[in-house]
Amino acid sequence: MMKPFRSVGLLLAAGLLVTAGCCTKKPAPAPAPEVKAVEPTPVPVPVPTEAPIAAPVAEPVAETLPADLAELNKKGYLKDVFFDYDQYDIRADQRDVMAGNAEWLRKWPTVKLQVEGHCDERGSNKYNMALGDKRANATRDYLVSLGIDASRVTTISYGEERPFVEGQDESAWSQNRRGHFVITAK
Amino acid sequence: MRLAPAITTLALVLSLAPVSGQQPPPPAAPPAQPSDISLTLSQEGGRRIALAVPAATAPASDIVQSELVDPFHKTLAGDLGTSPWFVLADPSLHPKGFRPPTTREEGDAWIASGAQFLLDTQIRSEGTNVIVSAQLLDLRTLRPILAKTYSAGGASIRRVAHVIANDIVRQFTGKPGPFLTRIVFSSDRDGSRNKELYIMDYDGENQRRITFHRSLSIAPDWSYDGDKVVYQSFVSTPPGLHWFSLGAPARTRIPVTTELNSAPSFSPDGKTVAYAGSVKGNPEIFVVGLDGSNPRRLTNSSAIDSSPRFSPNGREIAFTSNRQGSPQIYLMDLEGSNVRKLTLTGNWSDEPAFSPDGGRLAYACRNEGDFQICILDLTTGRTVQISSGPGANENPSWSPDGTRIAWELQRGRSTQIVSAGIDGSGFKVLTSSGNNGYPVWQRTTE
Repeated sequence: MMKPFRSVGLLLAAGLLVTAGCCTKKPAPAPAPEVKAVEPTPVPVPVPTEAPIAAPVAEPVAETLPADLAELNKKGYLKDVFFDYDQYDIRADQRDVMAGNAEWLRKWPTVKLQVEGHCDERGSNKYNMALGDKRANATRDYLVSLGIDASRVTTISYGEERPFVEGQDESAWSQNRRGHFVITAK
Repeated sequence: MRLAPAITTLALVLSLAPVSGQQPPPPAAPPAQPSDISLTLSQEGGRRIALAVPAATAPASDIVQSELVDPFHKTLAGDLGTSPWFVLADPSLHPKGFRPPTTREEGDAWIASGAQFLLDTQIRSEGTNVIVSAQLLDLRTLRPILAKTYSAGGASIRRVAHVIANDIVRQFTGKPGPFLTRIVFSSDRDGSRNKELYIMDYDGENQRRITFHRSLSIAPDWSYDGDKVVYQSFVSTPPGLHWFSLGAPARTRIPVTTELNSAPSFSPDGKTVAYAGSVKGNPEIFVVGLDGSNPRRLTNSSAIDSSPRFSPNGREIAFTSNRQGSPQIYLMDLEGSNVRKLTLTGNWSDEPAFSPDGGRLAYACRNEGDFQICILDLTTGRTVQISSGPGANENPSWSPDGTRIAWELQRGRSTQIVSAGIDGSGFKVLTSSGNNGYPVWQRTTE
């Protein structure tokens, strides 16, 4: 009943490259999923060159936020960001989302938030708890690089304990690898 | 005849000492000394000892049958049948009667069923007490090599069976089996998104809840003396390391300045825990006193460091890191120096667990497909995989006698705790209610 190890499997990696490899900042070097981590620094890739500093001017006259935090969070003003498998850098295709989040946070400077780091179920529980911490902090650091005061943002990792989507395919997994924003104060 | 109500407190005290005044039912021959047989295992060259374990004889009564004989037999045969030392003779081949065999012919009838030894048991009641007599017979000599009488007192008949099974294993190996040990684990059975800690007997019986946070309580570890449990709790932010003494109501949060605070592991002396803590989004391995004293960071890497486990001698810590690419398991000493990589195969290794003697490391291993449970021999460097088939296997933990491993197995949407011998034999599913994970086996045998 003992299966000998076979040589490095590339199935998962291959699947990932198809679904997510389209727009990473550097071309993924080789198919193996762990190749990246030779330089393990999570560099939050703060390249907000075309950060839309243009017009946060949204007639400050009437606009208000719901008083109730639960109501406010349901509005979905802050959009979740998604990660590649076993990765914690902000993907190139998530930068617009983050820029939008930062813009909204600049508009409402008293809002405080917690970033939750989540993982899909394929990794191991204990490592994923630490991976979620990396994702939450990478998300926070990116917001900070866009000018958001670090004191407004706390982080927490849920690892793979609180999946958003049930399911055992890449479409579910990709939904569960995320940084999720919860507004904690108005 | 009924047994006392099920015992629910953790700090139960049992009167299970053999009743010295009680004589077993007239044995065929005077009880011999245990030492007669202690060399059997090595003489057999590692082969399993063939045991016949027929159901206990008892007064004919439906209630005795259902309340005592059936659970007693299921427990005793379950214990010995999954032990690596024994193989049970097929009950359908047992002779009728001959309990115990008194002639050579009767003994041969038992031997013909494939047995070398017969474990003959009797159950009777004395007032409100339940008395179990057990004798282990060498079928070649027809002499009992163990004869003992046990008084159940207020304990359950299952516990008596575990005590007898331990005595039988001790008779052959000099050490008890895992039959009186327990497993702590995390379960979502009582709330959709919450997880609380539970404890169960090693065979999955007596499952009971021990935390009530209405939150996530996960990744427990059990102190070596069996007194304390430490775990990661999400009851407050950031998540914290909580511990308590079994049987005491207080839940204490270890004061730390780190975030994350996951995967705590007791040092063997029970005074400190190693854990994964995060400072500014960089998970590292820390050691801290139970009271928050002397916090020390042992790793210094911008990569992920997680899942620490103290070695049983307390001098080293195994942990998981992706510092060289994929998550793999490393070993370091208590100063954080002498870091060396232990797992050299597969593309993901995590959740290390030292064998009680420190010579082997069980862990979740993956090369392709799902996680399996692997055991790395730290002396030879050889790795064997003990799980197989569909499903993801994680979070292994050793029984204190080193013969079994419990882990969590996810199949489809269901995650349950299972156990098996370290060669993969004697596989058992221990839980079924809700999802259950993070099993950690008690480290004391009794």
